[in-house]
Amino acid sequence: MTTTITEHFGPWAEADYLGLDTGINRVELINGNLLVSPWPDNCHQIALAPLVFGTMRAARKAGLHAVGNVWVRLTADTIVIPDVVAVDKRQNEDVTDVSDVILLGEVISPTTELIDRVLKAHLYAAAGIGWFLTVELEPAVVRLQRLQGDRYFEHAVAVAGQTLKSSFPFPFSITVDELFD
Amino acid sequence: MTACDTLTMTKADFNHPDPWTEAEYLALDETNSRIELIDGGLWVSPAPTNEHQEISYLLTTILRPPASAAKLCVTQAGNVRLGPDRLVSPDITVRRPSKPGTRTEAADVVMVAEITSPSNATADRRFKKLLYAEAGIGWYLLVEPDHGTYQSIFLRLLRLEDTKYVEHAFAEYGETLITDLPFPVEISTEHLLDFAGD
Repeated sequence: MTTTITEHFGPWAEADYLGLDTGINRVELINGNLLVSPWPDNCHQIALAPLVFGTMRAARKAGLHAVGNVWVRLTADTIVIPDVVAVDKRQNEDVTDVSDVILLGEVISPTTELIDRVLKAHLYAAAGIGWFLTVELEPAVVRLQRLQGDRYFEHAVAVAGQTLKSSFPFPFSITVDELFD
Repeated sequence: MTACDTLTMTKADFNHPDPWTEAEYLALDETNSRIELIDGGLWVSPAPTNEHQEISYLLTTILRPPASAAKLCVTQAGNVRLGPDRLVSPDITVRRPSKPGTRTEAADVVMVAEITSPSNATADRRFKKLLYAEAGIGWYLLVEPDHGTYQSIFLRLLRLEDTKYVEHAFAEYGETLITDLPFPVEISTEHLLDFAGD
């Protein structure tokens, strides 16, 4: 069943949300609210593909899987669409459960910076996602953050001209300049 | 021709290639939900519950006389412009009188109050708090009812110090929050749940 934003009344449940006709915008379910993001700018899109493919390649070598742009259920009424997630088994359902997520990666646009940094990071930490990889634009910074207690701490960082290398949560490396090539 | 005839109404659909602008946001069609504009994106929250609205009404009636005495206005669910392409609707806004219009500038806002509900508690406690702090709003009153039974409620009055809020006063259920700032007011927590009263 297709629901529209205008007709709906009350908090959105998972089924209401999955039934939304979402068009071209990224629409996420946050505690029963909808977050409609503006269409990402070119800079975001340029960095996105190398990040997704780089993560996929590294995950595959480690016997894991990585997918971009999929629904991830953090709680019963929170479903987000991260840029990329590494998971420990191939997913058969439309919605990936957070218990399968090993690493979550996001390209942070200046326009969504506040939402990504404050709201999303908090939700990911509360859901127990162990590793959070971010690509910041202008200036370019790649950061790998590790969950400790209820918040993320920087594990590794790389700026223009550098390569981020980490053995955790699986061996991978990201050359910052390649993201914007 | 009325003023409304000259406005093109925009639909809150999900086929919008560019970030929403303030003009497009303000021309959005009525929906059953509350829609706020955050940096060109939309934050769509469910319509508030009856309990939420009762508390909002009771708090407004408590705030209004002392606010008036301090030459301030109290508005429920009005538009506040926190910055470019950032328009939110706090549950209650205490503001300096400004010219009539559809929105209040953050510079005219003295205090905002948010009443949490299960769906917006995280946003109110973290996200909105940061937005209000960035916009330099001096005071933030967080009203936290027990969402299961509405048998208790507590209040936290936060004061902006540089760029962050610090707790200025706290009242648990049964207590009265008494403060001289941002204007002298006493808020009885029991009165806020007196739904059948008046």
